[in-house]
Amino acid sequence: MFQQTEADLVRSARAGDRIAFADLLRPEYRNAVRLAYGLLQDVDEAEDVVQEAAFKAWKRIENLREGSSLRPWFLGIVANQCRTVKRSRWWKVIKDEPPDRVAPATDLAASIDLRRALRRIGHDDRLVLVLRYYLDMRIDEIATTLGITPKAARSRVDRAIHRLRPIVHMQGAAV
Amino acid sequence: MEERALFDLFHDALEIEPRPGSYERLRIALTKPTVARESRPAFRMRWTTMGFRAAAVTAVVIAIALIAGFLAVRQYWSVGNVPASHDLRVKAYRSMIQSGYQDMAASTSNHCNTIDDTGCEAAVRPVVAALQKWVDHMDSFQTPPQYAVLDMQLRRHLNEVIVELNAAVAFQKSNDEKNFKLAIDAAVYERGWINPPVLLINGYGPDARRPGNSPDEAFNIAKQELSGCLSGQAGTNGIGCAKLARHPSSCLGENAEDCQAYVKDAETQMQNLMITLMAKPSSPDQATKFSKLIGYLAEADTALLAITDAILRGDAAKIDAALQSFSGALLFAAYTS
Repeated sequence: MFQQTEADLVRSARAGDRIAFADLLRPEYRNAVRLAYGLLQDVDEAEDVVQEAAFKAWKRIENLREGSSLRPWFLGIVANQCRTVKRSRWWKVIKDEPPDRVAPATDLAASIDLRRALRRIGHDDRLVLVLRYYLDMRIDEIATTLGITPKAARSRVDRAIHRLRPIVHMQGAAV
Repeated sequence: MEERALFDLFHDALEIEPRPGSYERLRIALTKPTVARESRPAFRMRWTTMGFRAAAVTAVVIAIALIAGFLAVRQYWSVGNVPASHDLRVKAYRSMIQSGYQDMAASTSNHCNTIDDTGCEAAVRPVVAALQKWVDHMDSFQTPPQYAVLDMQLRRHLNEVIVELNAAVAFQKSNDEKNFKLAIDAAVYERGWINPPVLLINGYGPDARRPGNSPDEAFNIAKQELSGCLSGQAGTNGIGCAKLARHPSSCLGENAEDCQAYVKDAETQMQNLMITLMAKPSSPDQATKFSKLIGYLAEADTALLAITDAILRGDAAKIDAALQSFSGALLFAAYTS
């Protein structure tokens, strides 16, 4: 909805303009919720985490350099917030999303298996897989989000697939 | 595992969309003054000023006005040409809009966050007065033709904010917390809606990198988005438009909040499309279809304002009529050629 460039909005937000900051987040909001959902598998929690991450981002807006893109920076904050939430709920029984909240899957069994498998691997592996295969990010974008080199990002993705494969296979997913 | 299979598997297993209005709720939460910045004082006003942006806009507008005024006067006196009265009218119009915006921003204060705020009524009064003065100025101004539609919609939204703020005060007096919150949330949303048209009038158009860089592309994207909305698909601003196009069974009682969230989604979507199209320099042969499409979008936007108004009044018949107008305008817009 907003007409200024991202750089203009970053500048205004850094100068204290909340509306500019909210406008800056708008195009990233959907991806942020999807990232949080991919990591937490709970819609309510995903939206809460994105809200918390947005507050943190606002408080730290001065860390976002002028001329740099909001997306990797904000998604990084969302990912860290998910890690914190995940740690704090280690005792909680994770439920599958009720069916009406989740889009119909073409292969329900494979989808349930993948969601279970994702819960069993570590946060870092889950993060790179969600960024790559759910948010459809390129390797260089993943690298920027994680603050690592593209080569390191590629090998993290490969390693995560390697760890995911036996779990998914054991559970009978046809991939 | 093949890469393609992984993409499909992840999308099938995890595909979700944020719920309607969730971004708007975040936006409202962010613009509340409770979230303090770490390294600078907390933003004190609920009705926020534009901060740096307003200062930049004001400085640029003043600078442009001064330079242009100087050049126009110099040209008039030295060469003896007819003054560019049209350009001067545009500048005067911009100046009036900017002045109204600044007066409105200056009238705001940090009140009405909760129904218990005893200073709410007193705080609303100067805001309503500033908004009314702005609307009166707009009513009496000869609007340059290129801003006619935007001007009309801006006036409608300003009038609706007045209604919403007065309604909030009335709901506070009757201790109706649910409707107080609906009214204040609607007013805060409208406050955000005002920024893009004011910026566009002042010459700050949409980001050139937005999809649909050519006028034809923008036109087709807008129509596709509206068709998608009519067929129940979520747009770039959420599912609100699609939900309203399919006429929710009720927008009152426990459904009022969801319905209002749909309206906000849809208002944002209509505004995005309108402003993108208005900012595209269409050729003379495109101008008619652009103007038709913008007109239908404005009709849809007006219908959305009527829905919000009817929700606050608890008027089911008016909601139904407004939903019909909204769908009708969308249908015409989607088939504009």
